[in-house]
Amino acid sequence: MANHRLYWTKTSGGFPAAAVLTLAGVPWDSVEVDLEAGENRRPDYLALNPTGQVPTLVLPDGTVMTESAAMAWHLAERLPKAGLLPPVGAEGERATLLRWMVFGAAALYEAELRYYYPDRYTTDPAGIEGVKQAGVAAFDRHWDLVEPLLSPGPFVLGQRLTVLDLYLAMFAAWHPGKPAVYARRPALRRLIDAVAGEPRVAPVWTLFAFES
Amino acid sequence: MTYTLYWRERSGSFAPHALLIELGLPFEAIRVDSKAGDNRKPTYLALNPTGRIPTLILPDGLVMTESAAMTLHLAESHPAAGLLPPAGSPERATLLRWLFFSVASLYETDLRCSYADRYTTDPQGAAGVKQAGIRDIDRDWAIIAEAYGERTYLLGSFSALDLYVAPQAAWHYAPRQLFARHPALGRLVEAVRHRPAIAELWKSYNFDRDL
Repeated sequence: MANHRLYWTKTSGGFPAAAVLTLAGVPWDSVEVDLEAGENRRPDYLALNPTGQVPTLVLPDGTVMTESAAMAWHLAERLPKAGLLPPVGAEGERATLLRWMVFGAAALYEAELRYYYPDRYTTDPAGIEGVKQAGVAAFDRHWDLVEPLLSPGPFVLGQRLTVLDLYLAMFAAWHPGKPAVYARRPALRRLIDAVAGEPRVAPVWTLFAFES
Repeated sequence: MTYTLYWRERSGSFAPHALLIELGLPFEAIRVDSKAGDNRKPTYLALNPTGRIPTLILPDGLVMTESAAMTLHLAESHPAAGLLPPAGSPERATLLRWLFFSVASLYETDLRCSYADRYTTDPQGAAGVKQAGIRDIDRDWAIIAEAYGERTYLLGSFSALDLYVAPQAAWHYAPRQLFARHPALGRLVEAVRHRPAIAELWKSYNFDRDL
């Protein structure tokens, strides 16, 4: 059986998938994609992931996955040894995790892309700055909603690390305007410290070159 | 032990609404009149601070937002209906992939087309945002249409994912042109809107307006 194969770049959404694999003790093949060389726009990559986005995950049976939240959630379901998801039936907990995974994909991720790549969100060159500002404002508003979840913390389910924490920590690390943001939002700081400080996750955090 | 769903026509509440019916679960449906600003009232915001529709209250009182999360939750809590492949299976991976694609790309991009002014702080900036949104939504539909390929349902048999995707195809800004370009999407919409259990619901959502 082939290994899981993850196409990733530093500071990308591949982090939670890589962390789940590592926590499950599953070896994975690492393919670092060089965005500057345009490797994600080449036919062989686009054949795997027609959006050209990174990451892409190829499962041992050859099934291709895109969407970082989908990968992380699927791996956590597939590899229960990682201990990152409560079982179905622990209804409230799983429903909460699902709710905020989707919120992350829909709201946090999207606002962050608008901040970092505002030119993609308008056809008007004069409009880029306005898009960027709206992205920052949205990102900040979205964190207002997430923060109560992280109290008392450090994780959403208290002391128990879940796949959602791995996903949220990545957004927290992407947050523009650090470290002033962390001073204002101690729960984010606590989350990042707890995720990056988890001994088995720490090497993955470093591999992805997130600042802590 | 009843679910409560806050819903509105032509909104993301359709997928969880349809699942509640398909799964035969007891629920109360409360229509939110967003034109009257019901979703901006303190009582609604207390449940769902984003002001978005839908909101779902589970029988144990837990509040859920995000229609895709409700869709997964309802389907996985009632596995006998077979609307979600087993956890860990390759089919589940494929369903999760396209569900999150729909969340992050189709749904969000559609909002940029419909509410362009929310995506810029520049009063002159909305037209450029809307144009980019229309460019992107058509690219995203081409990608998922290819995933449907020759099949009516993405996984071959009907699943919760199809309930999530079909209404979005129906509220596309020009669905007839969309279906002409991508027959798979027209086929999906036809199949979902004629499912006996939810045909009435589909009508009540006014999804046929532009078809």
